Amino acid sequence: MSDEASPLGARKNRAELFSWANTLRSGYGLVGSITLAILVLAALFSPWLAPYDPHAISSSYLGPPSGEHLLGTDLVGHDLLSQLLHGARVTLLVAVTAAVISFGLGVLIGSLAGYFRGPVDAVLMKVTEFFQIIPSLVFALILVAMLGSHLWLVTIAIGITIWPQQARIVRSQFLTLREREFVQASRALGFSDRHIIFREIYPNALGPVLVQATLDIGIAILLETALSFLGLGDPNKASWGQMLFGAQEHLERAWWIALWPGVAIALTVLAVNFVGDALSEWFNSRSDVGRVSLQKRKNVASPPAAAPSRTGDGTALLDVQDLTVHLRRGAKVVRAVDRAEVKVRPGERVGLVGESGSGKSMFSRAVLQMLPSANVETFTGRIALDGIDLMRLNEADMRRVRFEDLSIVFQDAMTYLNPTMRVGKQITEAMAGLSATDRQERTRQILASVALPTTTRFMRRYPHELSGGMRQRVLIAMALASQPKLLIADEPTTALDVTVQAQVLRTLVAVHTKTDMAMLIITHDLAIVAEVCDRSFVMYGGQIVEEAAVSRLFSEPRHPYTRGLMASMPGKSDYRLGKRLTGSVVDLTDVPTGCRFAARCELAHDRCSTEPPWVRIGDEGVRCWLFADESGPIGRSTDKPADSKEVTTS
Amino acid sequence: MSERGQYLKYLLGTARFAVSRLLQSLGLLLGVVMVMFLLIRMAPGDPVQAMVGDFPVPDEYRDQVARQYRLNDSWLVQFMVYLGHVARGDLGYSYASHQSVGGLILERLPATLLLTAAGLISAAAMGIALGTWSAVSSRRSTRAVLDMFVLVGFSIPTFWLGQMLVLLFALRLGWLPSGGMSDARAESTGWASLLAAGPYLVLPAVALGIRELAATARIAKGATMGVLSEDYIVTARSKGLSSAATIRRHVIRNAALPTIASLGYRVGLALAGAVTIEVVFSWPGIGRLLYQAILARDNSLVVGVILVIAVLVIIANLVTELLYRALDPRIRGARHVR
Repeated sequence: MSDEASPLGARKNRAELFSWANTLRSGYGLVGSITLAILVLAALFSPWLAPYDPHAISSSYLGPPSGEHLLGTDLVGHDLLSQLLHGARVTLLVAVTAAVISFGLGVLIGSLAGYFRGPVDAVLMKVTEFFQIIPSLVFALILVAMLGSHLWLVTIAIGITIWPQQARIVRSQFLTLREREFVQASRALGFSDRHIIFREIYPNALGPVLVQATLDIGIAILLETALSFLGLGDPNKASWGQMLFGAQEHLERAWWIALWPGVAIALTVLAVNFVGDALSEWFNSRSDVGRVSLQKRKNVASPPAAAPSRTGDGTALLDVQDLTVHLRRGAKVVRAVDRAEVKVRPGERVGLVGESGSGKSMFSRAVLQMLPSANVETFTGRIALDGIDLMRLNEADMRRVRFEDLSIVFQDAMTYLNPTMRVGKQITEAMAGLSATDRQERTRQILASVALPTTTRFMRRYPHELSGGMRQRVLIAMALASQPKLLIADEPTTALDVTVQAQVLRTLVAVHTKTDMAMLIITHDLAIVAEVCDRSFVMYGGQIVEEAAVSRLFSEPRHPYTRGLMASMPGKSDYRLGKRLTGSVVDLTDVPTGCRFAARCELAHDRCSTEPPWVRIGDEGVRCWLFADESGPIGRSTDKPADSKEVTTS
Repeated sequence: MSERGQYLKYLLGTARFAVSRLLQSLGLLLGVVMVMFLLIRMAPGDPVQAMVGDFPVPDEYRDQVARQYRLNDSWLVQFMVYLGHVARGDLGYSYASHQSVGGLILERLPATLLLTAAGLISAAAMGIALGTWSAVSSRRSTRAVLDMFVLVGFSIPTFWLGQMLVLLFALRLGWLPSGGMSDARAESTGWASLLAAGPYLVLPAVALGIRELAATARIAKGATMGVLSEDYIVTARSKGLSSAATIRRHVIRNAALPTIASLGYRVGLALAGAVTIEVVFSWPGIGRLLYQAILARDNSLVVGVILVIAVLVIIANLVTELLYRALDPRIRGARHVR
């Protein structure tokens, strides 16, 4: 983005320049409410506040603002300030009454449509369409033009032209809330419809309905103003709009006649909109959470800069050390990844296994430096790819790494592909520095390697025109386009049918054997690890709990969690190494101080209340107290929990 | 199936869609005519007077109107007769200006179309740009400023903004003309007259456009924020695309779709805004015609203008929907993939 390139000083100045907007933004509700309160008081006490009788005619007509008439006088010689104060009464009365009418009609008709659905709903939608064709102003205008300009008629005309928006809101609340679990539950429990509507649906619909009712007041004021300006207001009731009616002709001689009522209207409607906006923000206060910022992540705490750029044992392609990712979720902190150590050697296929909610997806996002930046609480550690610490790269360099060395395949191909871009182009744009024809050629090669058609026609397809398996292959092709050194596959087959899963897996393996890239496969499915990987890490509660060669992992799992996972595989319930997992994944917003698996562990003992160490065993490792002693791995026989007691005492 | 075959099928699908939407629109239009008919009949006074307005009418004319619209028959017959007239494009006769309503409207229509198109198109283009920009901006304050602008834009009465623009730029500074559509001294025709209308168009188009700008910016901002939270943006970034390339290739098109979809609806609101704006700027369009008709209680003209507005909005909605179909491959392709 352009502002990334601009010098830091200029950016800061600009940010300061607009910081008032932020402050005001958070104070909309307060500013609006206070303005409205003052306005209502002024309207109520206008007879005492107004310096003159609004109908009193002074000697100076079309008089400019002066000490005698603060805002000037109009054509007849009325004092404008007094007229304005009294006009507030009329305007507010019309607006609030019209908003109430609109609220009543909207809620009633919206409820009918939402409750009965079917033909009633169809009729309502037609009526709403009607109001889209004849805008409210035009419809109110013809009503008043045909039936007469009385204040009450104007009010009703406004009320019955603006209700459809409210009705639509109520209707959609009905339709969505009807399907929600708690309404279904109430229904199953035998509560009456009336109970469900008044106790379940209305309280939940309150937010959007209230917001719309507030906005309706502003809309009504503007409509009344426009109607009056067109000469359709009640000539006997001097509303603000009525004051503007006469102003047009005298614009050149007496600007003040047009200025003050307009300012009053604009400020009032703005105050109403402020309140509406604040209400709506308040009701959807969590709508903006989780957005991935396009900008550079915030470096919450960078590691000491003293370390040289090329470190590590030199053998690992990906070397993750001490990686910690904590994210904010509302008031809570999600400890998604805690002090994770992961190494992937060149050309290796490595698994990262864990149940959903174990932090493994955040791990892959962290490696790519693509965390939802607005919510990052802590992001520390070292992530070296080919000796380069990704944590210390700026966004432009990190982009190069993503462009050339690092690729990722996501789980749900439908949502991870751009629906309005042809698949060929989506693959091609991931390639670096080739001519257009070379890119085409390369795209065809890649498509062939993932067993997709290489025709131009296929490349011109859109994602929705492909099957799930094909889409997943397109994602893989996209990841391969840059010929990366490391391919991260994040649940690459979870969204697919079992038969298609196998094909896609075979494609991945075939691609791998042809190139020398390394693969990190993130999955919850041990079968995939067994089929594809050389080595695997097991993740639980944001921590790596075991690292082992796949052959050993399956023959002799160490960590109780790994054993539980094995036992939980379909058809392995009597797996000799343990029992199926029970309970659910540890809550990452509230992790225990000791072993995070302890609550679900059959072998838990008192030592588990302190954090277990990472025990290195040759090339492998496990995070469990059971292996912390030189006595070596024990507890293979899970039916003897007494063993573990011994370990504690020794 | 060949590319050409698919394309033909797409065209066929679009044609079928257009026809079905057209039929639905005609149904709605029928509803509009019915409401107008009822309103005239509900108006106080006898029907001839309601149609003609507050003018002393000679008895011969009264009889002629009564015969022409079969006012002595049942309401159903009356409605069918009225509908027949409307369907033939006969919107009645303006007794106030001694001219057919259709002719009057047709004469004034181009000016309104010019004003509305200028205001709406420039506002939509700027609104999409502003909304997208504020949504992709890293600074919260950028979005806050836009939110503020949107709320202010929604709060100012359109015609009052026009009056203030006239006060400042025409009367005080003298930069632009305060009203009208052309210089009475310089006669020009055809394209030249369009060009000559340029300076006259600026202020009314701006006054009309501000609200539309605010509305479009708000929709575009919301749509862009929505697209930015989509998974395929994560994919684009994981490919190593720069922010600019991501926005250009992946964000703008997807975010523009809902904005474009809303434009048809905006046409109606812009036309409503044009009614007051044309009064402020003495713009010789159907809005001002409507105003004059209301003041003169020339009801058949009022109804005529409103019917024309309804037709314009229906056409605009149809065009938007076709445009949307052309831009969104998911809808476009929906016909020939399962």
